[in-house]
Amino acid sequence: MITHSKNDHQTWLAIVDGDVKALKTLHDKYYPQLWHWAKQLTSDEAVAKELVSDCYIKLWENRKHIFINKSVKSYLFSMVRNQVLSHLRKSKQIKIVNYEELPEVLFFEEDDNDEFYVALHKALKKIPIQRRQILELAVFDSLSYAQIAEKLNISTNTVKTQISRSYKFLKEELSHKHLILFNLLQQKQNTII
Amino acid sequence: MSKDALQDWELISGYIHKELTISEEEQHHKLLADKNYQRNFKGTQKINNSLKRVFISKKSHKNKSWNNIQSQISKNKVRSFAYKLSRYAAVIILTLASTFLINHYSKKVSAQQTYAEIEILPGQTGHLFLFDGTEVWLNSDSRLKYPNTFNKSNREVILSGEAFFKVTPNKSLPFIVKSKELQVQVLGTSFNISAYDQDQITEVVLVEGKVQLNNSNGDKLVNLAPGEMASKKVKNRVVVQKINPEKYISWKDGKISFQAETMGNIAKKLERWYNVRILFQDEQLKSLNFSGTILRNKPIDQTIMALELLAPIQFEYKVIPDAVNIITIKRKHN
Repeated sequence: MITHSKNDHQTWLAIVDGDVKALKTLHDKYYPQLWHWAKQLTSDEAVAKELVSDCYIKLWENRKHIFINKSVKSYLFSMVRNQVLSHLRKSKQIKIVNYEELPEVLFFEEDDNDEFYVALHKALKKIPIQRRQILELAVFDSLSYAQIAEKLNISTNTVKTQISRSYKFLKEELSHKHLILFNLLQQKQNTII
Repeated sequence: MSKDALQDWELISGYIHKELTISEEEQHHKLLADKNYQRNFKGTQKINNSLKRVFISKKSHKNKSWNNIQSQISKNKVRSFAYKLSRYAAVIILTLASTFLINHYSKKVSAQQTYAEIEILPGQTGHLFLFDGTEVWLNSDSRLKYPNTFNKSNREVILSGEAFFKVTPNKSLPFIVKSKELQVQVLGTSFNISAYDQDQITEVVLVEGKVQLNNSNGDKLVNLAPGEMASKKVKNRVVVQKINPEKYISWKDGKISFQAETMGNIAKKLERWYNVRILFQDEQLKSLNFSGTILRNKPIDQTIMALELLAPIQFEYKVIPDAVNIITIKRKHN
């Protein structure tokens, strides 16, 4: 945990110094999670994209005038939170929104194991599109087998077998080595905490 | 139980996605005794956890977003603020200040209260969020202190210098800014307060909302409405007047507007923002009047050169190593 805020801090210093690559690092690291969170609250994928992108642009434009008193991550989070809040207030979706009422952003566990995610990403690409779509609906959109079946006009049984095949394939693709390594790192993280 | 049997995988997937019947669940739990099955199950759990992240990453169109940001950035190239030396100084000071904040304990620790303090040096500006979401812009040579109990039992901050606040509404915890001469009490609003110790005057400008001004003892003085400014000179009464707020808050967007402002006052402000000393060869030069807008991200010599075109003055710039540079303003000789 400590190493990561130190890394973020180094990244921030580079950003202040005008290093665009550092901004990209910060962007690639947190943009997806911030977007996902903003999307859940605004129920609009495109609006969420704009809101979060704007925050990164603002961060860059004001980098020499910004005082980071906790961490870059918290600062970004606050920026996005404020943007989401004013958007919700403007669009009158919620009557009175309090800062504390907004749910926390679910930040992923820091990926110590980049190797694993890269391998997973690669393996996922090998799965045929239709089968991948079914998996995505189950994992990302959290739909039930029945809901997926209805949406794609196939049988629930088909959904079941396709999902099972995907997991079987992925498990076999991701070599033993990857999963063991991931396992060990998970354990390591737990003992530090 | 063959590790290739699809039925095993159907049970594993079904369990993870909560699609199993009760009897299927019993089957699953029995199978966990088999090492192979267990390994496959645990592996699939991890894959499932990671998949969510991979999908979010993919659907967020991270690369598209970055391309968009990159093109926006290259369009608006931000010019560096003042000179290289002060730019690095800013980075170092910000770093030091942030560690200072983490480790800081105020010298006067009263009961359970410890304070955190943010200091913005001359030549810098700051922007931050307080724990309740309130946004604060700090101008050069300003200090903001807040207790560790902020947003718990109270929302009180202590300011010396100049700041613009955009306060998060919270009816149960009024936000109070304490400065030497005045206290500003709000429920949720946007206002500017200029309370530099060296100036003999404290000014509060209200943009939006409602504020109550108290004296340093906490006694109510007056309420402000949007578009009003309250000024208090030391030992004098508070004076309220209607003004155009934009003129007083444009500093936070990097520009300052002057309307018939004396050279003496402008010089004071420039000293703060650029961290220079300005001397006048002739006291009378201080009363020259200027109107206009200055962009803060221009180096100071450009700003002074612009002023030279408007009045019979010329300036001399002296670089002092390891100290603040000096600008001397003289009468122009023709």
